[in-house]
Amino acid sequence: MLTILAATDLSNHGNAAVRYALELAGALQARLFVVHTYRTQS
Amino acid sequence: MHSLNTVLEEDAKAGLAELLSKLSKRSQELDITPESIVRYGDADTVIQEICRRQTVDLLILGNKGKSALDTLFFGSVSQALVQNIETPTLLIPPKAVFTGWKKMVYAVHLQELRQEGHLRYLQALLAQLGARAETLHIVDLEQPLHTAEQEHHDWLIAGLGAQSAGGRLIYGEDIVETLYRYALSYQPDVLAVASHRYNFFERLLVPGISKQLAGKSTVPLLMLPFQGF
Repeated sequence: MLTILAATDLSNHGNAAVRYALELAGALQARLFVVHTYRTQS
Repeated sequence: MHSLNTVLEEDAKAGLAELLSKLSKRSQELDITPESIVRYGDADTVIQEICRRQTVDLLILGNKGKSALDTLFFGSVSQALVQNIETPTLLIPPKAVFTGWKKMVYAVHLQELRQEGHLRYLQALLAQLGARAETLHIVDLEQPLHTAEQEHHDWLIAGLGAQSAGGRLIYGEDIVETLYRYALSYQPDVLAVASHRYNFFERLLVPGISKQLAGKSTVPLLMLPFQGF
């Protein structure tokens, strides 16, 4: 089984990439991870 | 009292949970259960670490949504990530919508070494999606292929097998601009590029004269790294 990692910064376009990843994962029946990172504002 | 990091972590978790909640109906329809990961740290470092630890086959990134001319594809991750990562990476332009993959354009440099790993990866991916790839070689001089280039071309077509949609040779002085112009006119479902040429990916992502062309593209870009295959 393929493993896909979608990264998003929770912006509209980042989330659109996650939607794309979900559809592609569905077509491939892949395992899907979605990652969001955060850090202290400097 | 919560520390700043705790507050940020809670916000990050809540934000991602909200996104996945919005996608839950579609996830069920597709029989996919997305697994969420929220991490503190530099996005590039975290993503690379997850790719290694989870043996990720495909990384998918989107655009942050600033001016398309300022940031063509990237959000909180840097171009350095794509330069250094060992995982195939799919960059999603803002208006791209997945409607299945039927046709891929696979841009190759026939002068470079044959990439057996790339070929196996693409062949498997295309076969699973019922898609076919047209290999594209861009040259700056209108002359026939050398014997070694022709052999490389034939090897690609044979390797893709039933997933091959043939090969195409086009002429253009600027490889990156020619590539984007072709993608804009041909509109494949995905454009795959592979190179270990110094700064090719960099030029592709910050393509100077081609910037506006890339900004207009709705075609996802699959970058196949030299390392890792």
